[in-house]
Amino acid sequence: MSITYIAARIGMFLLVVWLATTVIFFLPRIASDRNPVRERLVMMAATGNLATGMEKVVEAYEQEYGLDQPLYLQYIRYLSSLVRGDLNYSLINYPTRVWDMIVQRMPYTLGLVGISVLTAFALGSLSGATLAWPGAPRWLKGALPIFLTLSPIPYFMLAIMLMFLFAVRHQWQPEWWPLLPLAGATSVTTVYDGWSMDRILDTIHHSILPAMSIILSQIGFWALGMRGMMVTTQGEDYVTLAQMRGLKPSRVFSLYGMRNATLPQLTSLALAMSLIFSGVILVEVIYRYPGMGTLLYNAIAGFDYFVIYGVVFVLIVMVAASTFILDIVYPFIDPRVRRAA
Amino acid sequence: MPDTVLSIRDLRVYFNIRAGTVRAVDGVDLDIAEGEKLGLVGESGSGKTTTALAIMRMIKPPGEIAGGTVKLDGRDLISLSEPEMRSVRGNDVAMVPQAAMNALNPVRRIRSQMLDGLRDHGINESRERSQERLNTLMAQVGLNSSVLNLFPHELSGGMKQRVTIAMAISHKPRLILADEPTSALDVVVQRQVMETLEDVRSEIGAAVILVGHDMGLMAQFADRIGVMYAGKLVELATVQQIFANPRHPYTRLLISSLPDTAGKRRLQGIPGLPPSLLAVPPGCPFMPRCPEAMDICGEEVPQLVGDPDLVSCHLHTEAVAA
Repeated sequence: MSITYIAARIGMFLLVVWLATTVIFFLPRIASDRNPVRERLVMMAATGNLATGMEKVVEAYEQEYGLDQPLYLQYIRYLSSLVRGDLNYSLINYPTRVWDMIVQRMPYTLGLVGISVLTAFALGSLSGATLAWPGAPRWLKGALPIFLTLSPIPYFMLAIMLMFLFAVRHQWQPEWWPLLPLAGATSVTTVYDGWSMDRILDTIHHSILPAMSIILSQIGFWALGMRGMMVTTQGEDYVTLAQMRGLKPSRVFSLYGMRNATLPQLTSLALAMSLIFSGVILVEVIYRYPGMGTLLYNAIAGFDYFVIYGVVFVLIVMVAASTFILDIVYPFIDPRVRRAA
Repeated sequence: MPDTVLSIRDLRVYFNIRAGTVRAVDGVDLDIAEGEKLGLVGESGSGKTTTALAIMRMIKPPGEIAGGTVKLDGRDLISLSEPEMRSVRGNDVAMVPQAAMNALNPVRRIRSQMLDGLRDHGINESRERSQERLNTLMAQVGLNSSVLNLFPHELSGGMKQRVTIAMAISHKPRLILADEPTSALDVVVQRQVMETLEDVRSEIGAAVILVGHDMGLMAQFADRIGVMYAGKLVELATVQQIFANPRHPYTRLLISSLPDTAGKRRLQGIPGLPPSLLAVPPGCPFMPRCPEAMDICGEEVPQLVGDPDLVSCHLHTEAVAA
């Protein structure tokens, strides 16, 4: 792999991040002429926290945030602070820094996305590959239509269904019916100090339903893609020759079948990352899971501009980073791109 | 008389499709002696490749081996279990494939792909020992051992075909099936590859069935030539006999369709098309295209007779009878 290839990928990564941050900076400004600071102060006034001289306070805040300046200056100010790694302060929770809020939420979202996407991808691809091979088990053939039915359902719909089935007690549920936590990432009755083993286990317990909403919906997608690729691969001359050379069926399946059929799947995974993240945000909101999705949702509801920018910026970086990582890894798993690389 | 390596009796391969049963190979008898080079020729769809695949038991659905025996050193391959047959493939019978372009896994190194074969046929030895073995194989097919570190897309067509030959000989098989091994190569490389195949063949003493329709190539390579038509063997004779004195009208037309470099003769084809294998006409399948057809040809299927050169044609059954 050449330096120019890596440099080009890094350049692409930066370009994507820059373009996306620019779009998200201007979009809310065009969409609404609401003044977040004023609204915030009105809210405070309504609760009796602020009595007189509101106009002055608004001015002071606007100056501090630079909201009184022309849009292009705000944009430059915003970009330069991004470059410095500064995501500004939250308007609502002043003086909490946006970055601190995000850092607090990030492990939850990364954990949820990482585990559910990897599980769905691995299970889906493996079952899809097995289904394309002669002698696939009957139960797997029966399970595919179920997962195919689940795959077009949006994550948040599945989340609501799962919540209804597994987080709420119903008359028809038998004794043994498992009930899982309805919301949050830890039990409300326990207060944790730092990350103990108990807290991790509690978080995992709370993450099962949110993760299942993503996994159940994705397995069918990956299985279908993999089955199609595997059927194509089986017709390849190198699979036939491998069989004619008397290689073991398990080896032909894994090293001559799956090995090759996984390549386009990985490309789909990189392309699907942005969709997955946006789906995860909604799932988090439904389960009031304290990840970045919930943070974004609350920020949008309260017009907390800098939190919106901050969260979306970090999400963009994550999506762009996953594509970037795949770009760097791909030449290692497909030697044919190595020459171009 | 050398021992018989392969003995095929009444081999039938049928494809059951919606429109009916396609008799791709319909009662082939064939004996191949130790170290013999047999050429199998015929038009597309005549069943020559299917015969080779049937020997390997690599007929895929909807095709099936409908009957017959394939004995390799006296052991009937058709009655073996699938795991037993797997250990025969590559070990006792090896294949040099038709399209070497895609015959190697594009994402794995030549070395790994060759090692797969050694491991799955129970050769567990030290890395140094197997490395030595692979180097020897590479040298045998005229390749530098550095090729082992390359990926298939870094090799030329001729090199890839040499790799498949190296794979085929890695277990010193009794029989090598070469299915048009040079059809995707240019003529210069064709010749080199065929010479390599002949060299390694004589080194390990394997018999070869060379499937193809290049009569010129056959004349250079084979000891005997079998001519197939519509799933049947219509003539089986030594190369000299086939070219000097072809007896079946189809063989005659096949040979006269070869371009003549000396004269200014126009290129000549064989008029008509092979019959549909779904509904083979009664009698001799070649009758509709045969310039010498007689009444009996439409009624009775001619038998493959003669000694030692065989032909199935009423022109000759009568001669034999008379």
